[in-house]
Amino acid sequence: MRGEAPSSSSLCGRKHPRVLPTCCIRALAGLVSTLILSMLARNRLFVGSRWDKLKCKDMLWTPLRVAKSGGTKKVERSDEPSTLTLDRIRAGQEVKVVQIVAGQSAARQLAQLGIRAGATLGVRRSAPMGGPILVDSGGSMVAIGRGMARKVRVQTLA
Amino acid sequence: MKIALVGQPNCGKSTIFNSVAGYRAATGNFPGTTVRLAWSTIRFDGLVAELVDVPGIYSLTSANPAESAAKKFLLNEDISLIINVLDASLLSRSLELTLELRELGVPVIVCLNMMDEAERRGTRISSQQLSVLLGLPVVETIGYRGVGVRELFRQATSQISQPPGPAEFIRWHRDVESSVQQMQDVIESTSHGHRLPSRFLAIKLLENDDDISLEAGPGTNDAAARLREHLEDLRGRPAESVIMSERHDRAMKLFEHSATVTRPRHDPRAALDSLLTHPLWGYVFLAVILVGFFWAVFGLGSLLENAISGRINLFTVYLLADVPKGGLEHALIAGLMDGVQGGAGIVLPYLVPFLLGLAFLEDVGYLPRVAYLMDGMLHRIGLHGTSMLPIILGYGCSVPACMATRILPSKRDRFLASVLATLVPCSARSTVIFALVAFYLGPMWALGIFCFNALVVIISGWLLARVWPEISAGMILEVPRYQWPALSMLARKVWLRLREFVVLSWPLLIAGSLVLGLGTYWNFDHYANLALSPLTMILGLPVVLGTTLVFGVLRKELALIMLAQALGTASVATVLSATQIIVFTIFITFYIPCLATLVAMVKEIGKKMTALAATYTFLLATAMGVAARLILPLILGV
Repeated sequence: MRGEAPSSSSLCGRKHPRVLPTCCIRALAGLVSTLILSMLARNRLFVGSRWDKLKCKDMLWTPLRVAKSGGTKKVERSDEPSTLTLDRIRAGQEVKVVQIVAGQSAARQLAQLGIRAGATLGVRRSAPMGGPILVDSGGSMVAIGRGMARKVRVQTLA
Repeated sequence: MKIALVGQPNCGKSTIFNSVAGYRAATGNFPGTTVRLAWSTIRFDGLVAELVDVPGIYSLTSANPAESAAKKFLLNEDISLIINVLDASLLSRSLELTLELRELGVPVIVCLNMMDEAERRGTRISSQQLSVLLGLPVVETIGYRGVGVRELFRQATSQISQPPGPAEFIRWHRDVESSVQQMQDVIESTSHGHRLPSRFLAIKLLENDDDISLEAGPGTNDAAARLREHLEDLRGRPAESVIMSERHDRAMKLFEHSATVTRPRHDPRAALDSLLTHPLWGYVFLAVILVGFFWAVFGLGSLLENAISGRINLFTVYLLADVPKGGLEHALIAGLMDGVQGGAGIVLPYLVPFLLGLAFLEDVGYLPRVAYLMDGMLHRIGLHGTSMLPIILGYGCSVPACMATRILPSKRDRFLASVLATLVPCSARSTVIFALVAFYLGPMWALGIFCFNALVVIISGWLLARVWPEISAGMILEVPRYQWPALSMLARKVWLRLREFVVLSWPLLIAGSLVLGLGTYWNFDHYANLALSPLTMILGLPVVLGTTLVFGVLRKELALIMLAQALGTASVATVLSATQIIVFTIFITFYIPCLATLVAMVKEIGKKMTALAATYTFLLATAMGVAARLILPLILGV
């Protein structure tokens, strides 16, 4: 137990049981992979279903966001049926930005990186687990958080 | 005389700065590497000037502290020349900043950097044409290879005291231009006496810039509000966005008239990127890269440690051979050699490979990809991906990590990121983990501690985010191209960081070791240990380790060296049990950040927040230490 010095032959610790780390790491790996898989499933399989509306929207953060977003502009439904928000676009598609429904500072930050009404973007990646969208904007790659991407209304190009 | 290097983030300002000033400013392949002004005196052709490396800005409107520092510098300082560095492969976007800088009334010289990259992209730029249209001199450079830098500074010296003349091409549309003109008239009629040109002030007022409108009188602000409304009526959107798109429009026109776009060359980096950002493989590679990094550092480190430590031990034995044990001389020599041994034999073997690996990951440009991959998870704990950059930098050293939080716009995000960044084991603490846990108990245990630490960081983030709930603004982060780092750059960067250890902490370490040696000789440490005995007791550590923990606040590596010194033997495993080694390491890893970090934190987030963070980390460390002490024996079954 505590305070008991191991014999000098175990100087490099080879005698200590390796049970803990291996089992810990296995358990951790298992946990992480289940987590990833479950998130993947939530995002991929349930898109468009009732589950999607219930759970995927903001997951843990929903109440907080709603409570605090009073000051910023509300997302309005666009008249055009063909516009989507950027977070809905699958990787590999080209889109044209129609409108950015965000506060001034966010809109400015996006515009500085070339994401403004009229710009053409190539969606390269859409990260799992409510992760960001990776878009090609005029030759530079920009990662946009999912919440921010929801504020960008786009039209898909053929 | 001041010359300012100004440009958008990650366009290579610091690389150019370093090639003239020697390696003084940290460089890295991610936006926001430079968060504060770096100064250097340069001599060129008999001209002596202060060269200032300004943090990257997208425009003269600031969104975060790093940008506002840059803006304040540009608007308030007396600058003789601006060298506007542009990423040539992103020309049209970069020109928007050039157009804004042009209005400052300061001589501007345009530096088209990364010309090789533009060519690879299929963009051919006629710098002559661009120079004529802009009315500014243009120089082409390839910063990291040093191509064109000499020419740039030759041009620069001839440009000083030549403010940009009017250029017809960059005038705006008539309706906007007339509003600017009217605003300008109002400003001039109030005899503003401002250093900045009235046109610049007029544009900024129409953009509703807070800094400028604060300085303007009420009459001017009223006129500005009227004109903004007028613009809004004309174009049907906010005046700010009208001005911005006007600038964008001009920049596009400039690009069209000075560059031709052909088919880009095939770029293998695109394939690499699609693999490393893949929704599944991206995470697999992230894990592989991190674990591979760990094994490489440990493998190389233990190899070096065995080689160097043994030699120094032999030398110490040789030195002490004729010295009577228990005398003052013995204590002095042993203390001195322990310090030398600690630095050269234990810290450096792990520190060098670690810093080299981190510098490589930074320069290649992998970090923003990690931010991209982790954003989703970080959102869950109430942060966003950009916060990942300071946290990863925290694995190198907590001080630059705290400073890197300046790229975050929100105060709350800065607090969270700096606390989490200090919880992450920095290179000094990693050294402790490698040299104690990995060396004595095996690498798997060390990996376990790193994983455990990551878990605690995540949980801490989750907790703190709930203590201070706020909506993260969401990530908008530019992800740069991969860049193969030049070896000399890597070496200089590692040296920049290593120098601090060699020059500052190693002497401190040797001195500390001497003090402890003398303290033991005169029995001073007894009282210190007694005072700290409650802490060592609840952690189940030998009482002699009390002083060691105090030294750890000065610098974390010190704790490791002092451990050997306090125990009176370098082979720790003969005195401490496995549990004690782990408890000690966990406590050192989590408790109060080192002195340098505390100072940096006070600067970034204020005294109160720092005190809060220090208390939190201390309580956390104690809790974790006690938990480890209670749980580990059960698992070990000893």
